[in-house]
Amino acid sequence: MHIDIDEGNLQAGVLGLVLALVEIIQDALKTQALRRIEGGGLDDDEIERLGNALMELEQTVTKIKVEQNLQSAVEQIRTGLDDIINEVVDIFNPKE
Amino acid sequence: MPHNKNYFLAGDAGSLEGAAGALPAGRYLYCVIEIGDSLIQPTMRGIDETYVYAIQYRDIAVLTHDCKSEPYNSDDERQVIDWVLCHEKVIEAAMSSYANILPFAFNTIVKGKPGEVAADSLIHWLEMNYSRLKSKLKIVCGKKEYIVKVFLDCCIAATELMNTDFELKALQEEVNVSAKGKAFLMQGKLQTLLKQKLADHADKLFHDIYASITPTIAKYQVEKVKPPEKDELMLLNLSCLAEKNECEKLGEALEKINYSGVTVSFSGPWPPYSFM
Repeated sequence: MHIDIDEGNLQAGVLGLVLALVEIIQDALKTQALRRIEGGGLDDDEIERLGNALMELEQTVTKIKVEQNLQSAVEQIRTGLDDIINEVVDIFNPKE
Repeated sequence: MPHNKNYFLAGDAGSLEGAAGALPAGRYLYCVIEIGDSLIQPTMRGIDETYVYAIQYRDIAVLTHDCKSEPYNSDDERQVIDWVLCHEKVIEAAMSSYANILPFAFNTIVKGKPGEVAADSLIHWLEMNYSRLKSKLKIVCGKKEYIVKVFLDCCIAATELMNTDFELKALQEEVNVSAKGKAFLMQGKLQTLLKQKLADHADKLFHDIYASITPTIAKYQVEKVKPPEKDELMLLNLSCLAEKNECEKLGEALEKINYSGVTVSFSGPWPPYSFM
């Protein structure tokens, strides 16, 4: 199992990997925020502040991806990570 | 083309690989044919205009041509397509000339064993696999392969879900009335829920369609689906071995499939590649 990073452009490869990881953390933060909203642990102001902070983070990541032309690189890395997770899930939960 | 891969007879018979370092001549294999009382030699030309002939063992034979022991390989895509089309043409001609055939995939080549010419290795392989080939020939007798592929346009399905699903509609309403920050979080929740509902919808469609078409055919194989392309999701990829009347019933069942965003591709008749 490995993740393909463009060896001809190490800087872009590393930045793509970092952005992919930031996106994954961002997804986890969103999920956690929604859990806390549904659990009633946040008031309206806190929900708004959290939502705005995560939105700004997403906009910033999107801006960097566009500026550095890394959209497809990040997508490829995330697909590669998804494939690895799927392989692991299949190993522990064989279909037949 | 239904298939384009190397097929190693060594895996089946266990003894058809050539000696390391030596390059004995090979035999390119097109298909196994069942013959009656006497063998009628084929009259077709094969890949690169080679002479196609039959090598017989008891009441079966293999259509073949003499070749090098290495697989056909080229960086020129056009050349490879020509070879594959030629392979297919020989098999289709064999289908019309002989009652019963088992096709090999493109680039199936027998190498001679040390001290044995390729033709003898091929006869030896036929001898070793005679019972298996005869039982496969019996299975495909009078039948042809048909491929059924069912696709879902996820855009159409998602729009329909957004318009009909109570939970999704309520969440969309919440997004619409929330302040910017909360709306952002709710939008994320909506996307996640939509993906989940779309997956459940696709799963249900698969089961419904599978249940409606498989009773019409006695022999079929569920093949791997291809990864989604853009908004198109392959729901079902089925290789069916069917007689003429089964094919008609299958066609009728496919015509009845009427779900929003679902398209069906039905191709054939093909040589029974998936049942070799």
